[in-house]
Amino acid sequence: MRRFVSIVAVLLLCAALILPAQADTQYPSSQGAVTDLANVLREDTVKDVAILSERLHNATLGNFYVVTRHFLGGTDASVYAKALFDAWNLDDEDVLLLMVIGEEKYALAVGSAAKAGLSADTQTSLLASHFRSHFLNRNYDEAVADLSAQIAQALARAEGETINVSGLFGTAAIQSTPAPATGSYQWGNSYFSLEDFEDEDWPIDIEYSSHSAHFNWRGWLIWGLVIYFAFFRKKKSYNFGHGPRGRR
Amino acid sequence: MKLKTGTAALIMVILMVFSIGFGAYRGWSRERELVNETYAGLENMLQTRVESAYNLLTVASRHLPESDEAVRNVTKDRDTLAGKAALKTKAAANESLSADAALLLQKLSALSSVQQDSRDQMYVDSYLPQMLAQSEFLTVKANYNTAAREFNESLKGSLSGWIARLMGIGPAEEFVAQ
Repeated sequence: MRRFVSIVAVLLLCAALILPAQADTQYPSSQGAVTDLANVLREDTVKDVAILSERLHNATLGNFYVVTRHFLGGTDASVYAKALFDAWNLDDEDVLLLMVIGEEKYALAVGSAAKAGLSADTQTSLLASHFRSHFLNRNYDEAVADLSAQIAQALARAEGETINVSGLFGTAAIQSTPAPATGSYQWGNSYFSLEDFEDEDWPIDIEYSSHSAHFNWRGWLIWGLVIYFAFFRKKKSYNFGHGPRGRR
Repeated sequence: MKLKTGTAALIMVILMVFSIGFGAYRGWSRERELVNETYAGLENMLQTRVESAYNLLTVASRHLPESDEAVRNVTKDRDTLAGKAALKTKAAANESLSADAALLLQKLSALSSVQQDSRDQMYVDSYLPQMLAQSEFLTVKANYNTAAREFNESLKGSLSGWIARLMGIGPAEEFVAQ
């Protein structure tokens, strides 16, 4: 019983120590080059980003990632993008583009090695000239197509390489972007979707189980024995061979 | 040294009273700690309320001024939930958020600027109401609520709980507005 209670207590302590930490580090899992949680990108765009990322990897060892979300629940887009970059253990050569559709915000997270080709100024310039207007006009496919091609070429140039973008995003700039789809819900520092809501452990709650150990049977038994021996035990006198019993 | 039976009994009674009191205090303290551990879970649930409010206000900011009463009410609820207020205050803000958010959503839904914006209309009519409902459900179902209630009931309804209360173990703060 004691061992069981101890194990439960240790498990609860571990849960208390571990679960809040998990709460701060819960991010959506990567779905490849594109993690379109807001469902705003067409399949063609997703495929083309994957192909471009592969070509980029062959040229520079880097990869290009795109993530879309509806909202961040108050979290700063740059902070979230950097945290996601770290959470996914992306490499120093990698670049991650975060698009927050419902907040009309975006951010780039760039690995330390990739900064050789994508300095802060270059990032600002590329976002302003090849992304911002498309994004704000809700041409999300066009925004991703334009920026990803520019970023891939900038990264390749820094390595003395070239990236062939022909055949990619051919129709992205022409077709209109579908409205965001419903059904996927992400919390700012957390994530779950409506579909797997029942199965997800997040947002994490902590189980409570009462030990009910205020007065256990062992305590009462010990006290019973103490009282018995102190007050009710019949007194015995021993005589170890020193003559007859009785008063001397 | 030989103790008289009466003295021994008195010492025994004192020891027993002390032990029972100490045992009750220790046991109920541990029980209280277990309840407190579940509070982190409630905080996680409340965070979903805060995030829902943030998201609603983000959409509202595109269509209504900050001075709008419905916007101010939701902002106030969000700030209370995100802050360091007492649990009762947070519970009240949590309840207010449901009503205030519904009112704000209703107001947004009636705006022509929202109706002409397919994205924001989807957020107002579908996405945000469901997100708010989910966060409300999660918060109501948080284990802390059950744990605190059970703890308080046990504390009030048992001899050891009565002793523990005498020794300063108070009831757990329940997540209720009143």
